[in-house]
Amino acid sequence: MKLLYKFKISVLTLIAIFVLHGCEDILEEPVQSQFASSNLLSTKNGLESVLADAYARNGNIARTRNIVKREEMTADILWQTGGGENGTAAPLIGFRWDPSSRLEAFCWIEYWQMIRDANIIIESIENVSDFASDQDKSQLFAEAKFLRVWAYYQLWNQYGPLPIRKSQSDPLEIARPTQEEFYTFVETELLAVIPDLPDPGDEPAYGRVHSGGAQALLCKWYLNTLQWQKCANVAQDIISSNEFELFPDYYDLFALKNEHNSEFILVKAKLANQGNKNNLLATTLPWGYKEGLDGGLEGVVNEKWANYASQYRLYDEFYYSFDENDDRRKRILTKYINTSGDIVNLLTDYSDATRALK
Amino acid sequence: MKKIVNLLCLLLKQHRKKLIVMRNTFLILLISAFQVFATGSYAQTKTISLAMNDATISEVLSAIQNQSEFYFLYNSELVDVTKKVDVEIEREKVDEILARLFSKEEVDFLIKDRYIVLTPVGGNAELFADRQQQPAVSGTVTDVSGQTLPGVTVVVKGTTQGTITNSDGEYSLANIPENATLQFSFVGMKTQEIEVANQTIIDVTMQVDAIGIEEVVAIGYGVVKKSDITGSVSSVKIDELREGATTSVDQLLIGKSAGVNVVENSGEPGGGISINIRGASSINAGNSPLYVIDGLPIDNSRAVNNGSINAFGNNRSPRSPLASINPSDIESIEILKDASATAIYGSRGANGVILITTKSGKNENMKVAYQGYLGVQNRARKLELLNAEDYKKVINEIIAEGGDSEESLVGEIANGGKGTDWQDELNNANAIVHDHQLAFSGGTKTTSYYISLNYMNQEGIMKNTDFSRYGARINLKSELSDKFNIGFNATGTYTKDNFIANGFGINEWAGPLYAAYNFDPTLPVFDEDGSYALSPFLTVDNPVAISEGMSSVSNTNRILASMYGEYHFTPTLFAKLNIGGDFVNESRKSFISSLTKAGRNNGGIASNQNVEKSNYLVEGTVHYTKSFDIHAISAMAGLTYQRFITNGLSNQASGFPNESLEANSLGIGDQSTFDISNYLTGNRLASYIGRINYSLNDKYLLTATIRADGSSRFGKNNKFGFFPSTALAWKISNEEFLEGVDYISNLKVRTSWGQTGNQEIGNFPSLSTFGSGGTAIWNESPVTGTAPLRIPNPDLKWETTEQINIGLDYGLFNSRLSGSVDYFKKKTTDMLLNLPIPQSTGFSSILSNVGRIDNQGFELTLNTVNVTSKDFTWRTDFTFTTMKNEVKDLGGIPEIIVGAGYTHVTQVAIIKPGSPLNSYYGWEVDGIWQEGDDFSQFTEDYQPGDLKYVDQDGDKVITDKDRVVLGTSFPDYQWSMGNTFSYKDFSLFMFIEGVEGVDMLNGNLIDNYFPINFRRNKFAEPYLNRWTPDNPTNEYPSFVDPLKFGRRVANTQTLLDASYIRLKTVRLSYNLPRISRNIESAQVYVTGQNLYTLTDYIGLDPAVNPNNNPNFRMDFNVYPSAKILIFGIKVDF
Repeated sequence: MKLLYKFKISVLTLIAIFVLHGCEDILEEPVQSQFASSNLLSTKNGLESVLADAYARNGNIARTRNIVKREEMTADILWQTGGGENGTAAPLIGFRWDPSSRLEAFCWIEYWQMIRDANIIIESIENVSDFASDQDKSQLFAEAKFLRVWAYYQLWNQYGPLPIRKSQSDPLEIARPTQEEFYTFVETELLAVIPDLPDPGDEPAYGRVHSGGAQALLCKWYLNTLQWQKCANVAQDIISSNEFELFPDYYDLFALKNEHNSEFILVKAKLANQGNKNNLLATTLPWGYKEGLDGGLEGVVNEKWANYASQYRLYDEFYYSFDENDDRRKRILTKYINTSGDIVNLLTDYSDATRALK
Repeated sequence: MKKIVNLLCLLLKQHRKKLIVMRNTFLILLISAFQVFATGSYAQTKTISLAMNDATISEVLSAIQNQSEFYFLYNSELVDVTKKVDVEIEREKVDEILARLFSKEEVDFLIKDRYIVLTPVGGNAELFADRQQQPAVSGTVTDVSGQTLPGVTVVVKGTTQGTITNSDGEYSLANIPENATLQFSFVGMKTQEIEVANQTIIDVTMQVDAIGIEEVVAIGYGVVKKSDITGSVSSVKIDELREGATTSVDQLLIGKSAGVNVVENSGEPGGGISINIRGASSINAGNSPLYVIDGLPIDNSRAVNNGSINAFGNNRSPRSPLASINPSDIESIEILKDASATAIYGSRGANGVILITTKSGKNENMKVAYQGYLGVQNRARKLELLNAEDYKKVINEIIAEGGDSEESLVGEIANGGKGTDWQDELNNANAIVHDHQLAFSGGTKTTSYYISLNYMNQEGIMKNTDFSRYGARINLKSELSDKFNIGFNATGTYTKDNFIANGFGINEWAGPLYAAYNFDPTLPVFDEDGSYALSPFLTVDNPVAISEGMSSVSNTNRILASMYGEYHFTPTLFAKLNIGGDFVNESRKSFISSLTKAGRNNGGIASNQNVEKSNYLVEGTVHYTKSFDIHAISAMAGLTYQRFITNGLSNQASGFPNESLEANSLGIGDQSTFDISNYLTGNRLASYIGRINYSLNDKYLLTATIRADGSSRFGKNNKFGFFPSTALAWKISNEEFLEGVDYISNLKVRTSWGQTGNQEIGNFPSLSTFGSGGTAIWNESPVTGTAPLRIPNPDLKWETTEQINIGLDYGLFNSRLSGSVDYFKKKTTDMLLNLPIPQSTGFSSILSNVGRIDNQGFELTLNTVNVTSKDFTWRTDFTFTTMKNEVKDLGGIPEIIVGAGYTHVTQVAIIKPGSPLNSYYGWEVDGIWQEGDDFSQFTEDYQPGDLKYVDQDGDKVITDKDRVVLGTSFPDYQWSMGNTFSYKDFSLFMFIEGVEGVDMLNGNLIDNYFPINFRRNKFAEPYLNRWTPDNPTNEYPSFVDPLKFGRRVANTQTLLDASYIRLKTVRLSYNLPRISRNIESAQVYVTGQNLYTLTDYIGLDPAVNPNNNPNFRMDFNVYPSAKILIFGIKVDF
């Protein structure tokens, strides 16, 4: 009857667990492979990992192609044929899109995620105690604010002033600001972060922003908002800092060996074979591309690159708009050897079919 | 002569066997009554051993009953069973034993199968001879089919005077008092009373008790007599003779039950099945029912849903997780449909509950049973694509019409002008399926067991796919004392799956089927150099290369076990402790070799995925049952706690120096390609449950249940939810006023109300947590970021479904006509919806409790016995369901546009108030633009041969505003009909299933109307009959410039009517004559499965939906369905 006794005990124990502890406690499921926000956001490393996400969104794989599509297919530079993408590119090129068209080119959530990440850092920074110094802290604070305004700048470039979100606890729906409010926001934010950002070369890693980058964005902002004098002043500041200069050779500027150079001020870093790679190649390599004969692809052999049916092509008119000796024209691919070993001339065998990779 | 005639009472008193045993008795008696049987077959083989001293004959008889399936029927007044005897019997047959117990002069015995009637020699007349001055009555008792019934008790009502019928069903009673009434009773039959008056011969036809004497049905946390059910519960009979190749139990449910929509997700071996019970009540929290196996609610999701690399990752329809439970071990399936039945499962009950009960042994000698089948499978249909010659013709004609450049002209056709049929290259003709099960069952007086071993292997009809299972089960039950019972059920299985990539991937991210539909048919399989041929026009890889070069294998181990102990404090009160666990470990390895383009480009791609899914349950309940006067009460209350844990790991690598190790040594790959992820997550449920059943006079029944459910998944402000239900039933047929109405054998009205919940929303939706985010490139190195996973909602709580049900169970004309009718209405509020919010927050949606969705429907079950005679019976089982789903409210959002979720196919459905969930949403096509049409009515530059979209808003341009609701995934109605014809030892079963008024979007057809690449292969019908100036059809466009207006993928051309009528099963079986004394019974059968389908659907199979969601049907690269012929045998030793 020992068994019976044990059985009764088990039942009683079970009842006791429920009654004594209450069910609330035994319902606490620990979060084990996700970070609790209170935990992650209390250390500098935690905030930096959120910052990394913000940078990642900014350099997202889809962005590169989308920026090119959005800015050049809606202009007289680029068009597209073939592939399933043709179904979305056709309305874009023809200015005939409506809410039923899926337009990757206008996808904006990654910028809002940058803004969200920046706000998380800005709002949590006071809870972090392991900064090496006050400067360390203000530097991260400035970097987060810079990323936020950079995202707004890119959104503004396409859509104009958009709701300014400075806190995670802002209401879900916010009205668009006036142009004046928005202009003030961008300028103030940029001016405020420049002194706190590290000097060029002192940034924690290549790919993260320094004060020169923020100055460059401010300069561009003044330029695009027609504030000429302010623009000239910031430009002069950058020149006077002696940190940057134009690269001597335009054609070589795009060579692999010159990836880090003194002309690049504000960079979006990418890496082959990683999540943040450049995927423009697959739609830019012409049909059956095996080996390039010009445009900077001389001797570049395709062994394993994907080559999509979707093809991004330059208009011939655009190609010929460059002077024959223009260095920029030399960066356009017009001739290559295809997989059958034939030489293809994109200017004569096709129309509106030359390719720009860089 | 004044003592009670206690024939059946004696039986019942002495052997307080389980109700289920009584059901078997009933069946045995029915068999003996209705069927032709080999007389005494059981009695001839069954041997008994006994050693008893100084025992009464009555005790000896009951000892025999305990050891065997024999039942003795006798009148203790007429047969002297009080005599004391000593017996020493070693493996003797029952007739030999009886001959020793009774002298020939005194007692006659008749053995009818398992059932033995003892009568005094010379019949009854002699015994009553001294009272012959009174009138005597005699007669014959038969059943409805005219078979005589031995052993029927005949008593003069109000006295102890009586007898039983002899072996020919005859009785005679002398000395009948005046105004006497005779009462005829028999197990499983309705008791009849007949006034004697002046009659001397009274022949009686006994009628089957429609309700079945003690048939019990599993309900949540208990069982109930079938006649006492107050809720809506469907029982699905499991036939041991298979209706087809069955890998998992959910396949057995297809078309079998009204109100239960069972949709296959794939035709592959072990393919997944989606089940929706009574519509769809949720947009984001899932619509699958809860599965409970032997009292243990399981997490019915596959451990590894799909592969992680390339095309393996795009599969939406994982194979069935239930394939790791052997269907041959299942005794019965009950489907709980209304709230009264499901509310006891609280926050998991809203989508219905499927209760699975496995077999158990009986208290008898060991029985061994083998059942197995061997089958041949062939594809039921293939897509009608352009053959090489037609392809060349059509493509070149379209080029001539300006559809593409001269560069794309189709040249020479390989294989001497025949080209390649890529579907045929992948087809595995005459694929074999076989299944074997060996079961041992039996027991002693206090302990019973069921042990089984199972092996199954099913090849797929696509090359390189198969499924196999090795399983074992042991189910034990034991009465340790009269107060303490324990039980133990456990099964362990090992399953192995070989997959090909089939899913929603496109281009080079697709599997062999997509490639076969799209690849150039003019090419050969191999180039001259022996490598797989490739097209310079296509990124799609060679289909055979994909089939041979991509492998993915899963090994799954599952242990599902539960045990209980029951302590009976008093005969009316017991406590039960139930403990169970389910442990699944799946390890999946995938490899993409250099035979494929992707493999070559990456030096081989490999992945390992390992997921452990487990849950355990601890549960204590107290049960009370009491009857007094006209009242019967049973009550149950308890506590239950369940925890679910999932632990997963996924690794990938590529760039191997040598591919011979495939996915078995990821570490030697290129380190820069390593990709590691893992997770550990879980959830808990703690609940209080209670139920009361009350019956008044066996006419009025009341059931009330409640569950208080606590879940870790919900917000801290809403941890506990309460789910009540109540039901009333009225057994009208038990009312006096219906007693004289012969044609009504059973009539019961049921009505119920209750609330249930749904909590399938992932594990931490109420918390703010961070997971791995994007990868930044800092100092030329990847740095993984972290990102918030959601906007937390601390107020999150259950979705609540309120359901009312009105039903009627009926049995007419001796239950020749029986079944039930149900009407239900479900209202789901506080819907768990991913409510879209402004993306400026950085999030797209927040999981909220808003909105409402309604379902209502009507279900009919009708079972008829059309013909019943000695040699021939014909019965029909019919079900019918019609249902309406309507979204009522979306929490203030006017509509949600739903995408197809794969590249280039977006915006195909809509969720908006007033329409069914996921209604297809797009453009109506009204024929084709013809030459001479007035093109000026549109501002767009339409050409003859273009699709003519309907300009709904009349603004002369086709835009998003011209979209309308085109159709729905909810059928107008569904029906099924099973017919069973039995002639002597032959039986023919035919099952037909029909679904009417349902639509399915066809992704492969979308690729024809909006091609990704001009040089891909196409469907034959639209392209051969396309519009040309010479063929001004209104059916198909010219396909010359199909993308010029963008991709209007959802339209009336691509949305197809997926209604069908299918002859699903034809089975012919034969009971073999007894050929050996060692074989108790044997049956052989042949089954044809999926034999014929009547449909307008032009895809592979209108019944298969690879989108894994019955209320959003989308066919894309579906794994083909097979036509199967199986040969089976079942032998009992």
